[in-house]
Amino acid sequence: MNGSDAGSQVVDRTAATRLLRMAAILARERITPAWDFIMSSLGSTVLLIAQFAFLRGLDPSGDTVRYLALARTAYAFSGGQHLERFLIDGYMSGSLMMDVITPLNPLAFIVARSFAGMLASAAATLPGVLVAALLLGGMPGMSWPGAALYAVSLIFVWLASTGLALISSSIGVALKQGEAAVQLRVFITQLASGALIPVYLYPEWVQRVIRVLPFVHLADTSVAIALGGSVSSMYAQIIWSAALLGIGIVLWRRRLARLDVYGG
Amino acid sequence: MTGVGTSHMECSVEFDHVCIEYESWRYERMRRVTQRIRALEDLNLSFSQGEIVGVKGPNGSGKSSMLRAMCGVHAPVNGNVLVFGKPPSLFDPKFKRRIAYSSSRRTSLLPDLPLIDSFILRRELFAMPRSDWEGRTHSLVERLSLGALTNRPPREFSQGQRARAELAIALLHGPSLILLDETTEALDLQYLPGLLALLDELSADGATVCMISHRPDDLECAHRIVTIDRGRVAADERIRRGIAGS
Repeated sequence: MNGSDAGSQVVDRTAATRLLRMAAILARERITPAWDFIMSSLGSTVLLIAQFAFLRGLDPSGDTVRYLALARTAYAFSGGQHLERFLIDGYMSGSLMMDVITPLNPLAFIVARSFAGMLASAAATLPGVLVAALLLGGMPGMSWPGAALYAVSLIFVWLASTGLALISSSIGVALKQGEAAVQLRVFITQLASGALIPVYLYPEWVQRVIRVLPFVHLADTSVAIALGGSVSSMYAQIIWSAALLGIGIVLWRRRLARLDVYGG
Repeated sequence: MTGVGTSHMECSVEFDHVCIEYESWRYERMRRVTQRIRALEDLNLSFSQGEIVGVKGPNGSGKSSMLRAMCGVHAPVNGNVLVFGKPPSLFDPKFKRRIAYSSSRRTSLLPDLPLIDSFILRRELFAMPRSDWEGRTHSLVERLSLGALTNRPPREFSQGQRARAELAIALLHGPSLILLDETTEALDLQYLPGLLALLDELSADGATVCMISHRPDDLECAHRIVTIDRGRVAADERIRRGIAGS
């Protein structure tokens, strides 16, 4: 390694540390005021208990509830709608300009915001999943390799969902239909990821369609990885998350290059 | 205060026959209808290093578009904007380290966290050395009377308190070009002299200041007052001397 390689590694490590510090501050902001956060977490717990109870009634063996506990946990790591709403509102109102004129690469700042949103979303959802799983017998049993691979796959859930959020928000601002883009993305990802309805409960032909779409990698693939303990299931998730993130970054780079800010 | 010493006059900003347009569009019967709105029309203007330029003009005259063009947010459809001798770019970190932009309509503050967290976020964004950050934070908090507010969230601030906090955040990294878009208008007259004295010091250290305001009091420290109307310079008056070399 020559001197400049060492130098660039130091710079990269410093930049990564700074991004993590920023994400920590932004995540703290997402869960403040604390009572707002606690009450919204309580609200999502009630919905999760209802969803678990419904599926427990459909499948008394408990397999579906165990699937759902893993799927909802994975989906929580997608970060919800935080990034999309931030980008759409920021672009439409011009407030995104305040992020863009700082020396940090605007896309790096967007990724830090996405990471913060993921931490906050996970913190809001995981207690509810745990309570629902404990109440309705949905605690999944996993091998150690399965648990480790599942934890790694959550990183790709986050990357894929960041890519999806960049793509849907870019389309939303391009068409000036921000809320429509968010709701359409939520509708599709909830139905086609396995987070709301386990994919194997759909008719065969619907399953075949869903499994070729990228949305399945936000929940169902992680469940398969956890229960199967096989790394081969992760390849498609890695490829899709890289592709979605790549497309999303290209779209937003173009959008930021022609940021329109109206008014005083 | 910035430590940016100035030994000679140089041009900080130059607008050369600049036209800026906004594209506005909507769908009508499934067809995209585009309308172009011209914000700046053949604007010729230059600011020297260390100058404080007050900008005034009616609503919708192009003042804010001019400031945002200096940040690199709006690319001209005609003419050239040069800042520190180069076209401003949103993807050039070195350029963005040298500018500060503050607006009454857009915030850099974290509304729900104590104000000090906004200062910390700024330190990370600008990769400021900790000692430098501590010194500048202490100085700005004192100069802008923010001592009692650092542990309170900006959501609880009055408009004036918020404006002072926005200014402190904007000035924290020691910029060479300070762009204030009606930021001072919410300040009450008690705090205004302190802020104007601060801008005067920054200007003496070599920073160029461009401030938009509708209040004559805010522009008292300006060396020049530029009036913009319908995207053009309607008047350009030098009202006081005192920039090094002038």
